[in-house]
This record gives sequence, C-alpha cells and structure tokens, in this order.
Amino acid sequence: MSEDREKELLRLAEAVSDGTPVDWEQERGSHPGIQEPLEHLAVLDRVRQVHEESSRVLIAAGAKGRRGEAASTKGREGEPAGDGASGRRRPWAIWVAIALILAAVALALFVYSNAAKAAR
Amino acid sequence: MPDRDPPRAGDRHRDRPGDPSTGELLIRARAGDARARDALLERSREPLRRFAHGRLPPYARDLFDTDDLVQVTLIKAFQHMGQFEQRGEGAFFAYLRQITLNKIRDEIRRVSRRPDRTEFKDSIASSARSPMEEAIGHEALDRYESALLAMTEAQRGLVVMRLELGLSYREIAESTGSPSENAARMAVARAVMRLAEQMDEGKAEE
Repeated sequence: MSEDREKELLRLAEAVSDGTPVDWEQERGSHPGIQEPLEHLAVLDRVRQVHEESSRVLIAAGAKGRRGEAASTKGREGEPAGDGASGRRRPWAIWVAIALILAAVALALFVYSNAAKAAR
Repeated sequence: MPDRDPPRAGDRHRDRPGDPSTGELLIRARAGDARARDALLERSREPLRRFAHGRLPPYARDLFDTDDLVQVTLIKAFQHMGQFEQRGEGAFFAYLRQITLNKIRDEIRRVSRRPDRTEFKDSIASSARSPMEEAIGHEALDRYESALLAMTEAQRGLVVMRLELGLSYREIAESTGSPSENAARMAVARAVMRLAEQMDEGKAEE
C-alpha cells in the first residue's frame, strides 16, 4: 500500500470511528484510486450511524417511559378504572375495587343477620 | 482531544472516574466475586441493548422485548464465564456481541417457524429487515460480518466496542490496557481501516 493511500484511508477511518461527518461524494471524486476501500469505509460509517441512532431511540424511549411513570403516579380525576394517566393499564385498581365491594357486601350481610337475630 | 463521543443510552451508569476497568472486573468476576459480576453485567447491558436494537427487525421487536433478550443473553454469557478465555484486547465485548447476535438469530428462526401466525407472516413481509439491513443492505452486511470474523480478536474487539457498542475511547483504553485515550483512538482507526481492506479482499474472493 502506498504511503499516500494509507494516509488518506487512515484519515477517513479516524473520521468514521470519531463520528465526524464525511462528505463521501466529495471523497469519491477526490480519490479515484481508492474507490473500493472508500466504499467499505462509507458502509462502516453507516454501521456506526445505525447503532448511534439506536442509542438515541433507546434514550428517548427511556425518557418517555420515565415521564409516563411519573404522570401515572399522579392520577387524574374521572379516569376510567384501570387506566393510568399515561394510558397504561392498572389492573390492581380493579382488584382493589372488587375487594371493597366484597367487603361492603360482607358487612351488609353481617349487619342484616345481626338485625334479624335481634328481631327474633 | 475534543469530545468526540455522542450521548449513549446508559451513560449515567458508566464512565465514572474511579470505577474499576472492565478488565479488572472480569478478573474478579472469574474468581467468583459476585459484586464484580453484577457490575460487569450492568456495564454490558446498555451497549448490548444498542446493538440488539440495530439488529432486530421491527416485527421481532414487537414479539419479544429487547431488554428481555439482552438480559437472557447476559445471564447465559455469565453462566459460561468459566469457558470464556480472555485471549486478547476487547475480547469480552466481542464475545458478548457474538452471543447476542446468535440469540437474535435463534429467536428470529423460532418465531418464523410458528405455523399459526398468518398475521405475523404478513407483518414479516412488511418489516423483515433490521435497521442495519435497511441501512447497508443484506449483501454488505454479510461482507461486513465475514470480514469482522476474519480479523484478529484484538482488532475485532476494537471495532465492536467503538462502532457497534458505542464505548468511549476512555472505556476502550481501560478495557484494552491502552496507555491513553489517544492511543486507543489510533488503534480503533487502524482496526477500522483494516476492516475496510478486509471487506475489499472478501469482495475480490467472491
């Protein structure tokens, strides 16, 4: 490999690993002698970009999730049972409601049976 | 050296001054130190999530959770830690990356074999390509994977840590025992250049 060729490829490889933007069209025009490895470096640049984009998506999803969790702990007036403020389901709310209804029914039966005994 | 590292998922868990290096944690974890093992697990999770996200087709991401996939992969990898040989610089991350990639391929095969999922098969047709395949194409991805495997373990580790897992040069220097961040940066650039040449050689052989 000639020294100039290696120098140019190394410069571009550094830009790829640093994440410095490269104008690949311009590089193609400027270095007709290293077209093939240059194309592969452009592919590697895309590989890095895809993973960086994944990072951004995951960071955004994490922030959204954290905001949703914070909002869901506040609750909203008149929200349907089982729906969180962020639109998330809260099945425990339904179970609490069922438990309260059962407790009320048991209490009513207890009061009614005591009253019936007293009447006898 | 200017700050060349973009923000990454999980940054808040890593890169704190005074934290033991990955190499140190690896030695302690292999000696049975549970805290070192947990710290390594925590350190590896976010880079692997990033990697898995780029390699999972959208339909697969809907069918199994990326976090679960990474967690299962990490547990499996750490269970077999005794079999892992620290043969070269960055070998640990390259090892985790390969296990994750194998797990992704297994899951995609498993889900594709389900006979009862007609709506699923329709969705496959519309979203079968991972973000990586969308970006560079199937053929280039194959050439990339083959060239990566043809590199030395040390070079492969450098490329994987930087381009795929998004580790900073400082983390790479710590993982590889490099004398400085700048030395790590130069080593990564040389590995990237070598990979491009390897891809070229692979193309010539086709």
